[in-house]
Amino acid sequence: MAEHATEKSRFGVVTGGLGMATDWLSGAMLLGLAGILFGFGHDGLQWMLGVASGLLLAGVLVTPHMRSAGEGGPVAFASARFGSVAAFLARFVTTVATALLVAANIKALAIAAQVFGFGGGSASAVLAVAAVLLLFAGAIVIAPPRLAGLQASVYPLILAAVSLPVVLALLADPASAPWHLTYGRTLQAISQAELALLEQNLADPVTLKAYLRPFTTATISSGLLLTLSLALGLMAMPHMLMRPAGARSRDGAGSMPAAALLAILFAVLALPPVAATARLAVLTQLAGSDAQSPPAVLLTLGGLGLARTCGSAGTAAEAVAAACAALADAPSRLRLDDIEIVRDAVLLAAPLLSGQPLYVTLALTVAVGLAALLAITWLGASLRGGTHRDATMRRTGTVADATFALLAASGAVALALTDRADIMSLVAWAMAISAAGLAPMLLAGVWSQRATAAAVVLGSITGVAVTGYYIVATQVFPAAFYELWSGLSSAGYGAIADYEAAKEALAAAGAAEQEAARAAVGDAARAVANWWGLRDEAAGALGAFVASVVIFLASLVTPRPGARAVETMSRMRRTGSRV
Amino acid sequence: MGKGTRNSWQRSRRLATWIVLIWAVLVLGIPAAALHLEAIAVMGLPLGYYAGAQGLLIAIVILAFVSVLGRRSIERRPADHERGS
Repeated sequence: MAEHATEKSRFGVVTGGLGMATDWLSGAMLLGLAGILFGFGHDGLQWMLGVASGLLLAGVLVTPHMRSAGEGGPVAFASARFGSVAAFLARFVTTVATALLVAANIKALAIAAQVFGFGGGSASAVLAVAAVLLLFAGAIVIAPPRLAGLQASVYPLILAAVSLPVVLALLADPASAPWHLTYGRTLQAISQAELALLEQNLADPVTLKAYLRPFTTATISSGLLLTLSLALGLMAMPHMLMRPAGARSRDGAGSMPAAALLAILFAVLALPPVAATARLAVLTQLAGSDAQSPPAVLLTLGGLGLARTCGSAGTAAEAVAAACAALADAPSRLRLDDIEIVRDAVLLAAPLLSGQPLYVTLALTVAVGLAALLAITWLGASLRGGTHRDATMRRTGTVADATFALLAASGAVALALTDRADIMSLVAWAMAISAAGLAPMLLAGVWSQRATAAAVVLGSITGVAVTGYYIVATQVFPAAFYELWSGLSSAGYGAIADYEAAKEALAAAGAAEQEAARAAVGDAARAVANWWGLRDEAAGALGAFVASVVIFLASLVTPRPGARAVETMSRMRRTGSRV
Repeated sequence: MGKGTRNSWQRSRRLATWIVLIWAVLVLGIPAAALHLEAIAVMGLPLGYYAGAQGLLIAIVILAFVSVLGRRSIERRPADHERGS
């Protein structure tokens, strides 16, 4: 949105706030958060706090001031404050982060499609093509205000679907009202069930993560840095900042994130109890059941592609029983590790696990699919470089918009089809890249008069390089990363011994076993490849720190900002809600 | 930049600093102390878990609205100052 945007093309607080809420509660975020809460228990809360905090930080630190600058979204702001090189860099970082978020939403779409029976490779290809078309539609065809209006009108439907399991649970047991505020009994039952399974040797003490115990999946510092990385990343994401940047007033720009937070609060409060109830059902109703006649719900979930039992997604009891009998240590009763609820699909499996009717799962599936489609289209809109009065500039702008959309689409399809990571990891990596490349640039642009263009470009490149290196190296080349940086690893003796043993096994493996042995080395290396225990998903905090230090130091030794930057800063510092 | 504008910007900066500090204490400080809070129960929920699952989310929303109201108050003040002078 440029300065000359008409009043009609600007966003009101309610439309903008609900639109931001729809972006926040995308299909990927819904499935990813529920899966993280189910799988990580207490530690999953740090992910939720991080992404919720991003909206708060955006409203406090960025949106009202960026709106006052009168130059539109983050890329246009970077252009006005730091010049064209910084703007190009901001656009490049936006494209990379967008590709990751689109990939996460394609995966969410694939899971939703699988519930309706459209699974397999051909369905994934069709969905990927649909996502690419939507991305281009958002980037060059559909007017952002029209799309924002559609998102705002759809949000109540998504919220209603997410709240449905909680509402039905309340109706079934009114005495527990307000259920989603007082589910302490469920949590206590989870702890008791975990102990009971351990006593009966139906759970492995090594793989069982105590649901209520904090810091079982990450160290304290790594957990907090993850929260910080997610918060800074979301704060700076252009698809979040576009609407406040085009608000009708500075007051509106500051109020939109608060309105969005209020809108998502009810949905977010529903996720932990839904995840906890699903976890309790797995622990008490599925684990310990007869392996020769598995519970019907497991077969139903297997048929929908939401669960596997003994590695089988069979819908017939005989098939599942045969899969269990074929295991080397064939169980007579199902152990916790024999039951795998697909983590990214927990939200859709939860109603069936809690004994709720199938239509609840179907309603949630439709909501997830709709949210993912809208999110992909709006992510395309966030790749727009802005509007121009001059027709030649407009044409150039459209070509550039299409080029960046093509880059984002290619990256997203490659990431989604190679299936390297789960949904929440893709979201976290997007936030990490944004935290390292965009957050320091925006914060320096708004809050520092001394920050210079050269310093910001250097800082952002350094931050993105550090974060990108950490994520790629620890995920794709973990053994090489560990060999290079073993002195900084926080891995314990057990994990290091496992890695050394895997290396020896690889050296001794014959030609036929090489591939499996190499994969085992990779898995063992990922457990030890880190700097001070930092998770790859939290690397944005490290990148943001490095970028901020570089910006601060380089600003001291480079010439002061020029006239255009000073004028932009003056506009930000003027008061009055009609600015 | 006029004196009123400068004062207003300083107040905006102070407000943002306070909000971010409170956020950091709540969202980074309380989860860091989660191990020590597990023994205390709120509505049947361990306090550490309750804080992450509900309390801190509600606090984040409240902080967002405090920030909006604070900024509105700051933006009205220079106008009052100019009327009075």
